[in-house]
Amino acid sequence: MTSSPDPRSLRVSLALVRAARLLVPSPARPDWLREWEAELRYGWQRLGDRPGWSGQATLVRRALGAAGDAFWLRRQANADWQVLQDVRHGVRLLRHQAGFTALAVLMLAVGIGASAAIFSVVDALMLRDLPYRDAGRIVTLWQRDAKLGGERGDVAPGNFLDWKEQTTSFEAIAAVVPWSHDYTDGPEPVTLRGAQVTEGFFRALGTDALHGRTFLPSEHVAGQTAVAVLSHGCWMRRFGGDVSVVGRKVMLDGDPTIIVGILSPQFQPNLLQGAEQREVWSPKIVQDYERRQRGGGYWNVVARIKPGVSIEQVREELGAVAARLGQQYPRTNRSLTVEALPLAEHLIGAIRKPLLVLLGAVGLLVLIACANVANLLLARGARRRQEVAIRAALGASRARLVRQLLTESLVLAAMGCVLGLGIAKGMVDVVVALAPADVPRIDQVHLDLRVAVFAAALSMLTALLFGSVPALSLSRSDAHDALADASRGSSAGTGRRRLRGALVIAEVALAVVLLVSAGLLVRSFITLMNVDPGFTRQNVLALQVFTYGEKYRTADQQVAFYRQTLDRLSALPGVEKVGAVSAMPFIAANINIESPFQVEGRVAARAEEQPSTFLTIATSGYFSTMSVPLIRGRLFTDQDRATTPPVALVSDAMTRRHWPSEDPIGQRITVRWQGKPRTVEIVGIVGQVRHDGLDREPRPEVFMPHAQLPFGSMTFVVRTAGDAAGVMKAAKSVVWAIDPMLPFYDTATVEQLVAVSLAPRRFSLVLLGVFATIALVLAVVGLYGVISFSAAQRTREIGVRMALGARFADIRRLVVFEGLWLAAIGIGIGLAAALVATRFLESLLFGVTPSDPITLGLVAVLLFGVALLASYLPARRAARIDPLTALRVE
Amino acid sequence: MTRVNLTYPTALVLQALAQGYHYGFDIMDATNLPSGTVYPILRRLDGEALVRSRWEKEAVARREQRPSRRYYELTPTGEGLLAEAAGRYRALDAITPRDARRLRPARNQGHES
Repeated sequence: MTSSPDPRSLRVSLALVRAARLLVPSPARPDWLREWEAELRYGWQRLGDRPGWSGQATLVRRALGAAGDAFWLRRQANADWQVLQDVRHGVRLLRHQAGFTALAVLMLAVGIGASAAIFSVVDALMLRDLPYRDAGRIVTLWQRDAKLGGERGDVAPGNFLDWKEQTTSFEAIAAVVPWSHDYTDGPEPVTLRGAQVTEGFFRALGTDALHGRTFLPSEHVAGQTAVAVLSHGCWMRRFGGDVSVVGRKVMLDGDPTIIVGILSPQFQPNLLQGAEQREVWSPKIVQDYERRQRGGGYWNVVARIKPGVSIEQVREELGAVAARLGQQYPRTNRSLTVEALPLAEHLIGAIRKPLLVLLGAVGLLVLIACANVANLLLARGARRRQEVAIRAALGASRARLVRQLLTESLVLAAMGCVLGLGIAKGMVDVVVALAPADVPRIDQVHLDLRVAVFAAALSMLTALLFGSVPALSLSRSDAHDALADASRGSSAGTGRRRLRGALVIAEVALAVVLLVSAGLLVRSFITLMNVDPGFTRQNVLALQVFTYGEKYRTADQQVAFYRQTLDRLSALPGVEKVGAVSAMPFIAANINIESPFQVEGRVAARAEEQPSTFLTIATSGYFSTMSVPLIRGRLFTDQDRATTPPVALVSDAMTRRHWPSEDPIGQRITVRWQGKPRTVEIVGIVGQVRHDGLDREPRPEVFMPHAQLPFGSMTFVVRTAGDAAGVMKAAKSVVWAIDPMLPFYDTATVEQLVAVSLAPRRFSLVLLGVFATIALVLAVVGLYGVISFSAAQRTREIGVRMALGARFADIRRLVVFEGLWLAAIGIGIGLAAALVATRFLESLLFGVTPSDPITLGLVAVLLFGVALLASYLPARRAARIDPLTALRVE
Repeated sequence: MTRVNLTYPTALVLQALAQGYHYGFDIMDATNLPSGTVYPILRRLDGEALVRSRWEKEAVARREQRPSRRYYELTPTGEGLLAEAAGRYRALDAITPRDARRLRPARNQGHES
């Protein structure tokens, strides 16, 4: 044997053969390799000492042929390798019919792409584990007050402290109090959103500091140096990711505060409440007065269940504690229950329903796409019947034929999957942009391997769906029939034509369901947009500030600041009216102060039955700026001062509920303000306002003048002559001219505030609308395809009819009628299905019932219209046939 | 009857075997068929006992400084099939070793230069 290293062409040849050997069934492998190696070495030897290139090329070519040899052996051993052959055959066929292939792939891609996009959202938001240790053991706790309609509410401090002391199921239980800090060391004063947390918070979540540490128990006690922990995002944004920040002193709210730790990027600060990216975490020091607060809540509670304790046991224990507290504090706790909700469920919250609806919608879309492609395949199948018949005649079994046809479908689906992932990539960006900003983890939605696997699995499934019907139908063809009348395709095609008709009916029906669903959402949205919130949305700016601390210690300082600021704001060019209010409608950090009240002269109700109202502090300018109408009486005036008798305005909603047949003006009521009773005289009634959403009822509200009750959590409202946003900068400068260190907590136009509140609805509306439109297009394309194909098949019949004297119009009617008939059946089935399906939508609707006749009617008319169009075009073409040509088709 | 389709390439391979080409590459040279065709035919003929195969003697191979090759020869049944093939494809007579030589330019080049 040669001792020198093998020359390259021999090395390549040997490598090829060795690679191909893997295909050889293992028992034959050693002999096979031995034979090939021997032949190659022999072939090489024969080339002589100085082999020419063509000899070497022959050698390599023969080595390549080893793969064919290996394939052949493998195929003998395992008939499954026919699949590869089928794939090759399928690809060749699809390449020759580029138009068909492109259309089918596009339709599949749209279906698969939309599904993959929605799946990626569902996956990131609902299926994936939370980034916490044993996240399944983390629960959020809420109080429900039957008196307030039993909605899930934040927790009152006193209740939290009792839960903490009286339960044993938790490893850790902690409260989070939304908080903000003024940070004045930066380029301009900013408010850092954050939270104060009670002892054990980070333990409850099972998260640790990335650098430094979290809080020590001793830091939750008064009198310590202020400390804080930064979120990873805050650390990167504001401190450039500098590790030396740990241990540094920064000024927060004018106090030197030591940064003791940085949280890991996995700790998502928006996990607990709302959209706010919380940046700063500080220890909560529980105050004495908080121990006594048991009514309305404003704390969020999170807890980690001990290992081995079930959520049912937790609920049981909490139920017992709540019952005990109800007896102990009947006034506040009698109607209170506790709810324990796993963190994951809490986070999905309101987005769950829309996501499930969208998932259902893309499912329907995929079905429609499948029906369409199946139809295309059937139409093409008519042309392929000869090929199939010949193969059958040559001995291909039915199973073999079905397998081959299905393989073609798989090739189509695979192409659709690849293109679909491209579409999904684009769609995910749109979905994320559309999603309401307060959806936790929405920033983590992206395409990844899981989504790709989902798309691949889905496309396999679709291939089976759209491929099996034509494959079975085609392979069933009687060879004799097919060969005999292939060119005519008349009688034997009836069954297939019926099948295609059924598919179109299904498509139309599915499209109806989607369109009705989208239509109902559109109607809800329009109804909602037309709801009068009780104030004007145009040309009003809102700037929220919190004035606490050194400069605002006294009532006089507070009043002076707001008066001065309002005066200067109103002097700005383009500004028409200004005012300030504590509870600004639709703003994120809404200051809701609830209080029981007692009408003077009425019999005092028992504590737990005492009516309650919301208390709002406002300046008189607020009402005119927001166009909240004065219904009777008067607004606040400059005469309402700290020294004059306390006055109040009540909202229309309050009047209707509590003075249905009396005039409240002149009456006196007693409310609780900052823990003390305060008796005020009602001097006017103002229009009612929707506070939290256009779909929420206006609430009873009592307004008290800022001049009499100076308050530090206020929102300036500024009405402008023109575009409000243009005045924002000037308005901010006015405030900073008076207090350069005062940050704005939130600034927006009122229009933006309302738009944000509609974001969840817009999200499902736009996406469902897009899906429904695609469904409509697909269904129309399907209908058009079937009608024009069927018209083409009937060319001869049409020729005969025309020869016998049928007019163009008769022919047109004949063809159009077929399309309309199919559409009508589809619409009928679709409407019936929609009546069932839309019940699922009920909670997403506003002002319309799931069986809204207008929506159903409009959808039916719309589909009928497009069906008419889709049938008319082929009909016109059919009617133009020259009878002679038509008869000669045979 | 055998299950082997008596295709034209099969007939060529049978012919080559009868004419004394007993190894894979030599049959390719003789028939001018690619390896991906010749080998499956040999395998099929082998499977139907129309040819039999054995390994070349170690001694011969070692003398020529190469591994031993696989040697194919017709069985009596195979010869019967060849006769049938000859009847069907009269053109087979045209295949001779002389034609096959044409297919080996590389070796000739090597010797001439």
